[in-house]
Amino acid sequence: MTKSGSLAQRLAGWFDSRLGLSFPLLRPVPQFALNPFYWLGALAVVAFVIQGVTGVIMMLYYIPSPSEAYSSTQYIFQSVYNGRFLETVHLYTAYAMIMLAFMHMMRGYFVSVQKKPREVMWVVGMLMGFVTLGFGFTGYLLPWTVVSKSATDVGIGMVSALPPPLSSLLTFLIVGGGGDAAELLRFFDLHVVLLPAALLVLLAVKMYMLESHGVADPTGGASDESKARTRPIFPDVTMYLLELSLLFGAGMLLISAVFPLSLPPEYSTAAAQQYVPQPDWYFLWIYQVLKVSIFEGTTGLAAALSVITVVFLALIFLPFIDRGRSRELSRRPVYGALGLIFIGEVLTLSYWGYITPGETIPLEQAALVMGGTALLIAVGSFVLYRLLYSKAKGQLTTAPSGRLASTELRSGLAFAILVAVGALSIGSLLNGVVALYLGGISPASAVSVLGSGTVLALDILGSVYLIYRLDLRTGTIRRRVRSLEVGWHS
Amino acid sequence: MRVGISLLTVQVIFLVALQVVSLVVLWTINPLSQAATDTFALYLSVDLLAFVMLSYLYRSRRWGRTSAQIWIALGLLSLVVLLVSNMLLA
Repeated sequence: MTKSGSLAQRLAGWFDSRLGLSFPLLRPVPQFALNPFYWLGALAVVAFVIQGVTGVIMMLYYIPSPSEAYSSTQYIFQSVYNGRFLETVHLYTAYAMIMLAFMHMMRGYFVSVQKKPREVMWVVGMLMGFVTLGFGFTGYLLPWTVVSKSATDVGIGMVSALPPPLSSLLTFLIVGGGGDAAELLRFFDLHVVLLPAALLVLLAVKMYMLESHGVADPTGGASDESKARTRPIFPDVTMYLLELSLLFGAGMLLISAVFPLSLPPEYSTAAAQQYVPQPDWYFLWIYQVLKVSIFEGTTGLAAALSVITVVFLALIFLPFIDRGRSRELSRRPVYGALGLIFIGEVLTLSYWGYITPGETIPLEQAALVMGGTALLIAVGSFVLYRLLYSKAKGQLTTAPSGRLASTELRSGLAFAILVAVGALSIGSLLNGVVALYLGGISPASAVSVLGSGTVLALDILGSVYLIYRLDLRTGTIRRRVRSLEVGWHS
Repeated sequence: MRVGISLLTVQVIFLVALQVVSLVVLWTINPLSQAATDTFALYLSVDLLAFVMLSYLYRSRRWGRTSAQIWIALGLLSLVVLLVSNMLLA
């Protein structure tokens, strides 16, 4: 399609190149893509299939009404063959699906799969991620336990703080005319009909585009020879995927057998008053943001939701924001650091939310922990980036093969762990200091401060040692900071 | 002329036998109690892992590669661990 074509032709050409309308299906898969990291999304789909099978069996017994939801769930637990096991597998594969979707997204982010011509694929993938979270939100209510109903009420409360057209639409969709019966029925319908249908449609669209564009090349590029080494979909790729899927399934079965679920008490207004509502782990980071004191009240809640919406919008429209041509992380240091900060903040906020249920977080503490985490990761990323990618003359280059050497990967992994432990210990230290300040000296807070302080000190020592060891080879720091030359032995 | 059977054949026979045994056990369990559920999960996992190993052996042969013995050893080890833990549970 040339630039000189009419607007309609150019538009048609754009859609054809992005949506792959004129490409054949079921193309062979390159050999380099037969690596588990390329199949995280496929494993999320396997988790969805397992959920579908276990969910349909449970649906034979479950009754979506407030008076019978709990008793029917209890019946599944106690009287249905493998009932407790089915419930456990259903929940744990849901968790795995969310985790795999997140890992799939972050891997895609770091290797820049969202770049041309896969922009629309990325957007569709993000929508699938939201549908997956929707599964978690709607499914959580169905057992009608005090834990699930209280947490869902918090979520519904958040919806009311959204801008009017959106809030009324969502409220109508999930609560209906009001009342527990309508709410439960709508959550059930969304969980078993609307969301699966939406996910299947989006999956079909994404699969079609994947077939048309093919698997993204490795970030360092793929040689023609490497691209030519392909495997047919059947039986080679099918067998490979079957192996991964069954390994995943066996893992889920074993985890479910070792950690079986137990059903919390039934929901009642009296029981709910004795319980601090807390969302499931995958929403904890959002909930922790909402607990910051500045976001209290209707206006504050709206502001917090706006901030979170901006983060989600940035993720959805990432292909249109990160428009640089290069896919290599060495050429995208800012985006690399931003990705690590995002992961760090999500982990820190989730853990923080887990240990402070129902507590309002003072603004200063939130700024220190979130800002500290971001700063630590940013500095860590910068140091790591310079050490991994800079050569003697300060020229940024990648390793000859376009991939990092195993020693560099090990160093990177060690550094990432140090940064994560550092972030957690800073958070824990701040928590302990605030507890000491507010509640006076107690054995628990003293142990918390001393413990996290020690871990932080060891972490800093470890980081310095790692940087020192890395610098023995490149000499970058010694060259830049002359005063450090004393005592360096290479 | 070679006498005896290859290591690959032994592995395949062992894995198929394991699958048959695990399938028979799965059909005989009445999984209403937690212990029976654990047994069910363990034998189902054994069945799946045995299938994964068979598929891996087939794929390696088809791709003209020698099966990585480390994966075979790990797979067999995990099967042994599962069966022993089932005996301990029982």
